[in-house]
Amino acid sequence: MMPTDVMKAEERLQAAIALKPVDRVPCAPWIGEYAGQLAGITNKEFFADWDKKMSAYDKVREAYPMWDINREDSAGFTVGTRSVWPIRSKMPGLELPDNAPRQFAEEEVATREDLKIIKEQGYFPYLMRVSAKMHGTASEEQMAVFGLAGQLAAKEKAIIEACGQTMYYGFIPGVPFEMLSFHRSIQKAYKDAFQIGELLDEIFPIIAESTTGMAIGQIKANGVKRAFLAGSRSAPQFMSKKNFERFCWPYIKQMAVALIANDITPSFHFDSDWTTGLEYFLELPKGKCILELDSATDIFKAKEILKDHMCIVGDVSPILFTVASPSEMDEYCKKLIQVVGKDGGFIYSNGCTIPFNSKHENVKVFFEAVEKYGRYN
Amino acid sequence: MKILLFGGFLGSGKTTLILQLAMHIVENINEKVAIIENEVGEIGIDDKVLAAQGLQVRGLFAGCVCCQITGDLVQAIIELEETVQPDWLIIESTGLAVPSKIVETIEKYCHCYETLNTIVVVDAERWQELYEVTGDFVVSQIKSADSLLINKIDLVDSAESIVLMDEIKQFNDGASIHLTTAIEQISPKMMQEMLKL
Repeated sequence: MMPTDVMKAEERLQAAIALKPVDRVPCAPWIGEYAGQLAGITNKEFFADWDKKMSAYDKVREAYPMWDINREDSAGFTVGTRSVWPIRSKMPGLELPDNAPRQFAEEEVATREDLKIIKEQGYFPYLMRVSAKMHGTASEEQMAVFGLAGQLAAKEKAIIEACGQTMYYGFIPGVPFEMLSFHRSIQKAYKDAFQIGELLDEIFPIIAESTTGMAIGQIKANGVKRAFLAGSRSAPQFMSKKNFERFCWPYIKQMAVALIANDITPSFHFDSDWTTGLEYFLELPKGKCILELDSATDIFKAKEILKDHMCIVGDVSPILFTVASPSEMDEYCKKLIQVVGKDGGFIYSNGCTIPFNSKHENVKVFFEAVEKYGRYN
Repeated sequence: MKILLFGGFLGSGKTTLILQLAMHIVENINEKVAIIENEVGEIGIDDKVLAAQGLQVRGLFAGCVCCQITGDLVQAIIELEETVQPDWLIIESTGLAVPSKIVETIEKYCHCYETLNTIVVVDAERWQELYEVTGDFVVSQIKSADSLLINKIDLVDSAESIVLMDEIKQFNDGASIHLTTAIEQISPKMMQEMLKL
C-alpha cells in the first residue's frame, strides 16, 4: 500500500472490474519464480520451502509497496502440491538443476478411451484417472493434496491481507479445449479436433459445467470472488473461425455466464493472440469480466473494442523485462498506462508471469511506473 | 554467424531435418554449428549425444505456451555468439510460433549475425487436417518462410504432392519450395540450397 492511496486494494480491484474510477492504477503483476531470484534463494528452495517462498514475497512487497493485487498461486506451486496441476511439471532440484525455471512436460496422458469416461461417468472420475496416470497419485492421495493446497492458500490469503494486498484468484481451472490439450498434449488435441469432433461436442459441455461447479464451491469456501480461466491454447490464433466457434467460444461463454450468475468474476487468462477474437467478448455482460493479455494480443486494439465493456489486465512483455533497456521499459509502461488505463477498466500487469531471469533494474522501472503515470487522485 | 530459423507446426519433422542439416555442416563443410531448440510439444534433441558429435545445443524454457520464450531466445543467441562463436546457428522454434514474430525480435535485439533466414517445414500428410483445424495459423507460418520444405511426401501420392505444392505456392510464391522425406537422408544438393539462402 502507498501512503497516497485512498482506496483499499480489494475496493480498487472491484472498481476496475466494474469500469469505475480508481485512485491509482491497480498493480497486479504475476511475480512467480522471480520472487525467489530477487530474494537470492534458488528456485529449488522457492518451490520446496514454504517459509522461504513467503519470505521471498515479503521482500518483493518491501521493495515495491505499490503491488496491491496478488495473483500468486503459491499453494499450487510447491513440490508437495504439484499434482494439482493438470499437466506434469519438471521441478528445480528434482528433475531439473537447482536454479532452473519450472517446466511443463508436454505429453499425452489421457487416451481417447479415457475421454469417454467423461461421457459415461462424469468429469470428476476422469480427472482422478488422469491424475493417477499423470502424477502416480491414487484418488485418496490426490484428495489429500487438494486439501493441503487449500490449507496453504488460506495461510497465504491471511498473509496477503495482513500486508494490505488482496488475493486475486479464488480458483484456477482451464476452459475445456485447454484441459484437453493439457491431458492429451497440444499436438494430439488438434488432431482430436479434426478426428473426433463429435466426442468433443459431447464432453466439452460436461467439462464446462463440472469445472464451473467446482469453482463456485471453492470460491464460496474461500471468499475470493475471481476465477482464473486458462485459455492460451484455445486462442483464435490457433483455430479456424469455424473450429473456434465450435470447440472454444461456446464453453468460454457458458462458464463465464454461470460464474457471473454466482457473483464470481471470470478472469480470462488468455495468453497467445486473441486480437481476431476480441469482439466475442462483447457478448458477455458489461463490467463483470476481466481479460488478461500477455503481449501477443494487441492490447491497444483490445482497449478500442472493449473500453466501455470489459476490464483488461496486461501486458508488459517478457522481452521488456529480460533484454530491453530500462528506458524502453519505461516508455512502454507509460504508453500502456496512459492509453489502456485511460478512463479506467485497466489493471496494470506484466504478460503472464514476470520472467524468472528478469533484469532487476527493469522490474524496478515497471513498478515505478505506477506512481509516475498511474496516480489519479 | 549465419542464422537459420526453422518453423512449422508440431510434428512436421523440424527436429529430424535440423539434425541432418547440422551434421552435414559439421561433417562436409567443417564449420561449427550450434542449435537452439525448445521443447513445447516436441521430442527434444538429446544434447549430450550431439555434444559428442561436435554440436552445441541450448534448450529453451518450455513453460506454458506463451511469450516467455522470446526473451530466453534472445539471451541464448547472444550467449552462444559470445561463448561458442558458431558459424551457423540453427533455431528450432516452437511449433506454435509464427516465425516472422521471432524474426522481428531477433532483428530488434540481436546484432551479432550476418544473415537470418527462415525455413518452414510443412507436414504433407497432415496438411488438410491442420488447415481445416487451425486455418490461417499454418498459413501465417508458410507466409513467414524464405524456403519451404514440404516433408513426409512418402506418405502422400505424387499427385497429391503436386496439388499441395501449388496450394502452398499460392500462400507464398516468393519462397523456394522443396519436397522431402526427412526419414530418408536429405540430398546434399538440397542441403546446399538451404545453406545458400
